[in-house]
Amino acid sequence: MFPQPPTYFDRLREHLRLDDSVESDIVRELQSHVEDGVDRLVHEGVPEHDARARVIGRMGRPQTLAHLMRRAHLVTPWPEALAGATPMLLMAALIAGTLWQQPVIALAASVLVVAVTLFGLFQGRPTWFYPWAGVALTMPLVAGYIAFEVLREQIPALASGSASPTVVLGIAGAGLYFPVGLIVVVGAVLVAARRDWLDASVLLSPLPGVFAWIIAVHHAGGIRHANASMAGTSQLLGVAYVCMAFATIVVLRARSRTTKIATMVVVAVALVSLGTPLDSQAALLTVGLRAGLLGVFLLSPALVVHQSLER
Amino acid sequence: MTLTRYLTQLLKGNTDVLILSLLEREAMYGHQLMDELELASSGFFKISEGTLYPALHRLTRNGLICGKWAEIAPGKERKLYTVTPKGEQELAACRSTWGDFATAMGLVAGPATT
Repeated sequence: MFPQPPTYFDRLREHLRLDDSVESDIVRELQSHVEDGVDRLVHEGVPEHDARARVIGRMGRPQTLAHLMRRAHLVTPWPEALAGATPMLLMAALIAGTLWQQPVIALAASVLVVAVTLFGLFQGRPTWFYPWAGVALTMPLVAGYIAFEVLREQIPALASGSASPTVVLGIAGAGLYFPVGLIVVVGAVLVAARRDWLDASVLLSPLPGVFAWIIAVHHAGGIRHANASMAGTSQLLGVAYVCMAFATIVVLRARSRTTKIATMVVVAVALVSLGTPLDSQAALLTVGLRAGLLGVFLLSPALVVHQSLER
Repeated sequence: MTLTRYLTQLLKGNTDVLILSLLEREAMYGHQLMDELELASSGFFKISEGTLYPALHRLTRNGLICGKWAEIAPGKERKLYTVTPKGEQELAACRSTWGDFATAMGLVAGPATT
């Protein structure tokens, strides 16, 4: 059996690339508009098939109508933009205030992030969802580091052959955890990029900060031993997340894609510049390379989409 | 500039006010709005779907109108739009500006008096 050719509304939906609930609402409204137009023409004596073709023809190309509808929805209202910036401010408070060292607060923050992310997923992935989902994706990274820390102490025992079966299983589990974690992150990015690669970039944006934090914690002696020696780093990372909160608002509120992309690039440069006091020996070229790498990382979903379109 | 182009630009610039004015009278759905606009202007204003629906959604996003699905006949649901208090304020401000604009246009571009 041959697949049905895409209808006008299939093509419209393909180009809308908005929240699922918004897309459904738009399509339902336009379908009811077509029904009204067809009823009118049929009542005037036009055969139904011709009437439908005429009404749909009046609506113009689905790509054009989708583009116009999309533009009407592109600007995120202030409350939603602020909701999108909140997880970045939460990260700033957790890191700069070293609140992550208090298990109850760290657990409460994790539960909040997961709950809001699931709520956003249930709501059809509105624009504020992606920063929350990005912060949720940092959790496997942190959990992976904790697992690494716990098991690192057991590696000498494994090397000498005196490790218990539990330790062997634990190390094997950790070995499996990292590729699985990577698959989860890549999968989430691909799903987000299918609608709009900029959503996927927003999703990725909290990850580099957490990665930098993990490196800082590791240099400071690990999660259990990290102390005041990393206070400077914590404050810088806190400032970085506050900057990202502002950048998130700009990205969500901006109508032009150029502004959104430029904001991402500026954020990459600003974040790397913020980190230079920690590595005062780094040459300008190294700093530039880091900024470039971060920019490429944040904009990498565009490459994924570009490659899948070429295929 | 051709007259058609001038008229299209005038209509584009005033679509929001026209929609708000019609919705102030009663709640309406998209197709009904298109009909009413044509009827109320004696066929002068003809608005396309590509102009109307993006405008309705933009006005909704800006909190000037509110759209809700309602059963207008047995088994027939349509998205009915109403003006919000914020939309009423915006309309009042636009009307006042429009009045000043029309007066000034009349003074400058109106027929010369001897």
